[in-house]
Amino acid sequence: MSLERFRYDDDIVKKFIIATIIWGIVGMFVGVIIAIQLFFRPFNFDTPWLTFGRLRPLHTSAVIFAFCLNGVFAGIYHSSQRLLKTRMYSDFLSKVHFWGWQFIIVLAAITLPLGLSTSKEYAELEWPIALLIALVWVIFAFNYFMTIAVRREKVLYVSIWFYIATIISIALLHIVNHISLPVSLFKSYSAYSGVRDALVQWWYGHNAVAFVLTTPFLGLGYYYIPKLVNRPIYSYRLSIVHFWSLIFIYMWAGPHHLQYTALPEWLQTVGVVFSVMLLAPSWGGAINFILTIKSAWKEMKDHPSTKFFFASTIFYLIATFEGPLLSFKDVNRVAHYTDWIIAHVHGGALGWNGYLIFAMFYWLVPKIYKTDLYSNKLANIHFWISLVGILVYIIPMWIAGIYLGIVRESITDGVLTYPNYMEMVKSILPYHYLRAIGGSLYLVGFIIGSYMLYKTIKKAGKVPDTEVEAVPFSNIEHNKNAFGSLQKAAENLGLVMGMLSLVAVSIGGIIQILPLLITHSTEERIPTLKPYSPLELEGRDIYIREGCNNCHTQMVRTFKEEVMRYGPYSKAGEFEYDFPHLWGSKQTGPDLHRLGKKYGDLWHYNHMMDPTTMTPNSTMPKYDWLAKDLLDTSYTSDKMKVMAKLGVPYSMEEIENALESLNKQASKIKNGLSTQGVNISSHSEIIALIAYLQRLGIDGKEAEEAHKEGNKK
Amino acid sequence: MTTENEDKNKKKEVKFIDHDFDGIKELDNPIPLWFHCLFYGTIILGAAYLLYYQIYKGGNTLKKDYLASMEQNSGESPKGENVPFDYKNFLQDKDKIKSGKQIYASNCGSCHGMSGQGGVGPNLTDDFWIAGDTYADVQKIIEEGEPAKGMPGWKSILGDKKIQDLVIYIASIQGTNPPGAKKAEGKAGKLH
Repeated sequence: MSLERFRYDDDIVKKFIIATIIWGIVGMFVGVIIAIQLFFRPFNFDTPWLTFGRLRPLHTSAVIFAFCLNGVFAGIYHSSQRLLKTRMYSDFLSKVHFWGWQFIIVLAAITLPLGLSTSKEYAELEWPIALLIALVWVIFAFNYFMTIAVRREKVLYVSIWFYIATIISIALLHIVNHISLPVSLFKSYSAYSGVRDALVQWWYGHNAVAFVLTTPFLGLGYYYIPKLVNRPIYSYRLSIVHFWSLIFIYMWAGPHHLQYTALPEWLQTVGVVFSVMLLAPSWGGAINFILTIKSAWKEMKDHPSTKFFFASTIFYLIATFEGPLLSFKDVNRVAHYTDWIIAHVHGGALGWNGYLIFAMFYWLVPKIYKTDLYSNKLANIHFWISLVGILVYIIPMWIAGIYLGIVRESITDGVLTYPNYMEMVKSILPYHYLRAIGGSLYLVGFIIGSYMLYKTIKKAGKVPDTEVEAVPFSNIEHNKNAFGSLQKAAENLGLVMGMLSLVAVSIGGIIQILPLLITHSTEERIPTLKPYSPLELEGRDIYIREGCNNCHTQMVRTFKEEVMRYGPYSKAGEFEYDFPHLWGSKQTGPDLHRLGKKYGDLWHYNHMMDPTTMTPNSTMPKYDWLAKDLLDTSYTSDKMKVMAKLGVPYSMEEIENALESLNKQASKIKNGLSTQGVNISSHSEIIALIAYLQRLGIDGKEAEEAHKEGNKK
Repeated sequence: MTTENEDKNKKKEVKFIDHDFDGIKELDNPIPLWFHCLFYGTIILGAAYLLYYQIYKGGNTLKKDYLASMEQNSGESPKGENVPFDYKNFLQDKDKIKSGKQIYASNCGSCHGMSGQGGVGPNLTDDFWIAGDTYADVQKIIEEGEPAKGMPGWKSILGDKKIQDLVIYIASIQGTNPPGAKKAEGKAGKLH
């Protein structure tokens, strides 16, 4: 039998490794900055570009899509070539993928601080960048499936299943969630509004966690753990069961992000049910990992990778237990909008993802550079500093979250025990100090690890691509049972695996989302609902630009306490013209849905100039540039046209007279302010923002009052 | 002894899947029993959860639970409304003034000034009143607010007792003429 000689493309793997490390440091550094901003306001240096609302999307995008995904790509390119016994199909496409991806990240790092954002979490990048992501992803997918086609290995290993499911699902999620209509090069509106937008967004948001931070990492574990410990995977049958159940069930769990909101209740309950059912499929992978590591524990415990893999798997066990727990209605009412969720995601991102990437690198870098690790001691220091960092981060966040969740609900003698929101915020600030310390420690560990890898790479110098020999595909003996079952067929044919994965991941979305998209009737109509005025629409876009939704929700849940604190609970019908929705997911400050007309315009003006004047101890930054910067109205009528296309009932007349109406409303607010001693231009941005804030929740409140009046009569 | 051990090992020996991937082998271990228990257990639990909320409770627990919790609350308020609070007897009550001062500082001071001198909202220390100059009038404006002018209603947030303490505190700062006092607004009249 003749063997073919060829080389693996190691160069692309090296590129992705370096990108992972650089972006990891950047992403976590931004994380530390915004963690400090939460208790130390001046840390945005009084610049719009560095405010929390704009940097938080940069932090999450950098960690998820720049750090984690670059790490995943490094692992996928390295392990897939070896598992398929072939070089990548096209070196050129691999390079396009690499440079395209880095270019996208650079664009994100520029546009997000500029405030160019769609406001949808983990999908903030505006439409041209979103298109570019889709394009680069398709190139990657094409290259990958072609590599499967030219392989020298009959059967596809578990890791490859996970990679295929990842590639297909991310494409699906990204495209569906980003459907939007552009207004200009830098601005677009989501094609979905209100409750539908929220549902699509969290179907996406939850499964970005699934298919960026879980499935590819399981695939990496299935390759690197057995390679590291040189032992077989504990159970092939378990792999099959947990793979299919995981990708199928994950797609149903999104609505657990919307418990007690205006989302139809059946969807909320279904979200809980599937979250609970996720427990076993998630743990299946962890069991396979732990039992595989355990079989070689004695001889391997001194290798740094073993420690990192083991700890990573433990954090995965914790996070995937916490997930179903948090989804239960009664737990969710306490945990939702609080720091508990922050603890949950950081246990996952720092513990599971961060550690797994370094576990992989500490084995992979010496292998691919054909040298030894520069220093095991430094790797150990990295491990322990980071571990302390993670614990100092997540334990205080758990406490702060549960504390806030309980006190905000507390009622004494029929009234709220803590009517003043800042009183509650003030009491959890010490936990935020600890969190910033914990995050910094993790970053220090990360930098030590990166330095060590740098030294290892430098020591190795230039290393050629690995050369191997393998039997050509046509000469491999055929296994007669190869197509005995669907599973076997999928393991032998990449496209079948791809199609089956697509079917498995599509069902949940189709059953949950389609009914809401087709019938608008799931929500009560609000008879008083009117579209936003041109000025309010512009104000809403400022709200989106500044990322207010990163700290403030617009969703009063169906609780007595929230109704007492904020006003009538939010109904789905009120958000019909909200393209996109701005419900938010975290209350660093209070909910804003019933803010409209609660305070006067002057209050809002003073509050934006410096929040502490109106709310002593406020941790919100100043937005004083809004009074100086003038509103750009060149797109106002275009914005309304796009809204009209999406279904907002603006008449032609209203669109034509947009500017006139805008100026009229702005002058009214300006005149009101000047009688109270504040003189600013009626064209300043703050006027538009005030107009929007004063409109929040008004239509729904009016409907509620009209309804009450009707009942009385 | 040795043969027995070998026999045991043979029985225990797990088959490999007849394939390796880049040197990785897979064992054909059965799925652990407790995994099955967990897997099917959560499915049963999930099904039960769905049935409980969607069938047994009829699928609209959110609204029902909410309305039930509101009814518990509304039972108390009518009594309070019927008997007007007699402020005159408590104007010198030091505990109430102290409690009112705290409530004032964290909820009212940002708009009416920390010493009641006024700011976004009117001066509360002078002899001019926009919404009436009796204790009952002050209580009413705090409870219901004046949304058109940006004064929120505080009844559901603070409750009767805290609002009474607030009125007593406001009564205690009359005529203090704090620095930076805002110019008079409303009708002249002493608080009584």
